[in-house]
Amino acid sequence: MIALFERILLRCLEIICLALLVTLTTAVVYSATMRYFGASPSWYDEIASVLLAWLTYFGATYAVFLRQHMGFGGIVAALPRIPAVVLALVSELLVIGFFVVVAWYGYAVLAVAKWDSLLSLRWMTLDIVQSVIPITAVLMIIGTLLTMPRVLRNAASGVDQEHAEIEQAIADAERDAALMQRGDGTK
Amino acid sequence: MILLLTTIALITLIMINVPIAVSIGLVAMGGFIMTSGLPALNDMAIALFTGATKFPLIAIPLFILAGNLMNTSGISVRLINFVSALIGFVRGGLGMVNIGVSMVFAEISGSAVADVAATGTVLIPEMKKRGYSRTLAAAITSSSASLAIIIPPSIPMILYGAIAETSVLKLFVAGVVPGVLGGFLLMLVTYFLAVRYDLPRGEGFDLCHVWTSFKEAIWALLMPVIILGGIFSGLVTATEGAGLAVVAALIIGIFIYRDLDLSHLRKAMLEGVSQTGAVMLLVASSAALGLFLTQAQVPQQLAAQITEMTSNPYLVLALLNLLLLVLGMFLHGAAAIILVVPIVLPLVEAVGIDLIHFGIIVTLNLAIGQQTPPVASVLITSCSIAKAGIWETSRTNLPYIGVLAFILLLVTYVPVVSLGLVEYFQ
Repeated sequence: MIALFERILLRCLEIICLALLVTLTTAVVYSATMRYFGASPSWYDEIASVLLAWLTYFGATYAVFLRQHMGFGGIVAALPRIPAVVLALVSELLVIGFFVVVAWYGYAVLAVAKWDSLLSLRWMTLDIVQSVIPITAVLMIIGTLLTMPRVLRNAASGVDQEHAEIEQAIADAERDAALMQRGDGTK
Repeated sequence: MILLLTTIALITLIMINVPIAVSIGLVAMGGFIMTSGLPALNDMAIALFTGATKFPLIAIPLFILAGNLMNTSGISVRLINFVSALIGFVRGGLGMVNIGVSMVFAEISGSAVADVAATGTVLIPEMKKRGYSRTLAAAITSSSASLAIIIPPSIPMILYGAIAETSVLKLFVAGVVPGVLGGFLLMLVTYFLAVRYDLPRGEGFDLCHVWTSFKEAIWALLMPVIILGGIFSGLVTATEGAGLAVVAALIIGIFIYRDLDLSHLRKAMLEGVSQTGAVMLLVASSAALGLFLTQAQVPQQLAAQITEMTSNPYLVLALLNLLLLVLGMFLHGAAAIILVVPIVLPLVEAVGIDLIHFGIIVTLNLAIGQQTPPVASVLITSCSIAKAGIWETSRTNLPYIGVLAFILLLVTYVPVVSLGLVEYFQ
């Protein structure tokens, strides 16, 4: 049940992130093209900056679910089992605590932000724009909680996340290279 | 005092494996609460949003996406085949191929690990087959990939440009001469090592093969020409150049090489999203920390204290180089830039160091940092592929690190090496 919930959330995040990335890329390419024809869109700077912020926070949430944020796991991984698990737990609680505060104050400032709006889209008030902070903070708390058992298991067995990621990147590259060679052989 | 406490808190949090972005945010949060009370956290929430809206940073997700698309489009393999046909006949040629390909290919995407994995998985096994020791194969791959950090387009340069509010275009131009010079010196070292270890020559020079592989690789070679040519000639801005890079990578991957299907595209985009999120959350949380430190006048006090002792820019640069080299051993490149640059910027400006010049120095320090354990993801990736020990490889890597250090000293004390081309284009 929890695994299903995690998969559904992850899929929703993927869709949102992909939509934001495609929109941002399209906006940049469209604006560059229009600038070439001497008709730069006036909304470009503001909207592209907002899209970047949204992509940042939804992308960061996606990275939380995949545990791909930069960290230094060498020391915890080298510790004996019990201290490693305790430190991993402390680290997780600190992360959750941080995002609880961000969600709380990110929500609090929306009350002020709603009186202002974007210059290029007057109907888009800043509370909508900045709501990405509390929304993604809550999602990051959920992501941390859902993936916490995995992290504690890794800490108990001395697995360093960075090394795991490196092994994954190498496996992916080897698979791609093998596919390429097979493709060349069949062409 | 505030700087000392901030540093200790940050190091402690990072050591217990709190993600660096969250560590920075937690330290900022603690600082705000202690100096201004709970209401100051409203400012922090706003800084977390505005920190992620800096316009020049829009280039980051786009270059990351373009790099990922190139990684999955078989561009690396085609480049390797071409450069191998071109210079593979020289003694140590395969090592030089590795360096040449890295200079063209690496560090476009946000993940140096993915870049090294893409070229290393093809080249390292081949090098081992031809008699290169595991450690030498890993050392060449690792150091050349790190040098590529200063060859444009480079994510660390975009980060620096946005934080220091200086021209990303000028940074790109300033990186060209040190990058190319460093590449040639790495090749020279490889040649000497190849003679010393009596490594075999690669395939013989065959004009027909060069032509065939050139035809295959032409689009891959045109990619940097299109992007950098567009940016350097002023046709497009750095951000628009990033958009152009995505379009070019898509066209090449889908219509020309036809290696980019829907599932590869989705995978490349999702990896790009995750890498963007990881880098940009660092940027956003450091904006909050930057706000706290600026309110506490920390960068200004640091600048005043150091300029009281010395205002000699060369001495200050030596101190900063030392600081950055030590930090590079323990922090990932992006994190080091984001953390250090805002703090030292008033000092750099106070002693009259050119911001473009300093940007190249910072980036080069981080290139060396990627080679020095314990935090050295590029070196670790190369070692994992070569199945070589990290410390043994570090020993073999010393001449290559020496080259990087030489380039760093050259750039630091002979500013024309980096700034000459910038002034020429002005």
